[in-house]
Amino acid sequence: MFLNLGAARDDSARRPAAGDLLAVGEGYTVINQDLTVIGDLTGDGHIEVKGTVKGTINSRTVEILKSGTVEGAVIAESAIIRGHVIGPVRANTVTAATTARIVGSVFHNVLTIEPGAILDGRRPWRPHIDRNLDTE
Amino acid sequence: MFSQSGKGSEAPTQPVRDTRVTPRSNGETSVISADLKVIGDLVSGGDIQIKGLVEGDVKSRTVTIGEGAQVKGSVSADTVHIAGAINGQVEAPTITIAKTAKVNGDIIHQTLSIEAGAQMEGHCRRLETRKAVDTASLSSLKPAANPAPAEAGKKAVSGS
Repeated sequence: MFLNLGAARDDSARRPAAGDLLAVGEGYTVINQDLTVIGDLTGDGHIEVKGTVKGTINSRTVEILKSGTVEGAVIAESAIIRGHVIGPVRANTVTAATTARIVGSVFHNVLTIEPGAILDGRRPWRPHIDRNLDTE
Repeated sequence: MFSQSGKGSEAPTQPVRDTRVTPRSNGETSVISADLKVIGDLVSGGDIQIKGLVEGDVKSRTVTIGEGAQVKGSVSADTVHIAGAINGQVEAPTITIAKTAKVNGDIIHQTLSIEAGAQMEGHCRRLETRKAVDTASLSSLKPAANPAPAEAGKKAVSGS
């Protein structure tokens, strides 16, 4: 049990801090609670989803908040899931928060699962995930 | 003695000015940032700010198409501000077109303002009734908003 402590700390150091994303300002997309997007979102910045997206999200960083729902793939360099995802998640760094519910495969290099998160699907590890190459 | 009075009044001279643009949303407005491309429709009961590219229809309460933004599709809302480019029909009770705007499509409005310098190609039609957008259906947030209330009303009249 206590041996894991070191590993957990190391893991969090590799994880990008959420604060870093906020400094971007420009390139910061917000899909609010009352917004439904029926289609695909493609960008190079940060996408914050509080509403509903029915389609693929591809961005550098993606955060699905507690109220957020995605029916489709989430492809990113770093993805933080706090809401509901029905579809595959493909990101180098994936964080499934306590409120997360992912129904689909989670392709990852670094995966963090917080206690309480529901992951319903496979969790294949990959040496590197390139979000521009939409394979698998 | 009196020279000290100047020191005392120093504090409240600077007004607090918040120059920092908070990237976090205020819980009201959705933002499509400049680097983002949306291929599909946007449906919202709130406000949408578009700075990027949208290829699809936009339905919302307030839509702001920022400078440099591009919308290829129709826009219907209560209020529409256009400072960017739009290729498609715009339908709203209140429409504001800024000088940086490029509008290619018809405009259906009740109140329209066009700033000098705006590029406009299309017809402008004024709507008499205040039923430009069925906002009631937007607030219920059903993507496939069916015009059921209007239909039902029509049927009731024809049936009697």
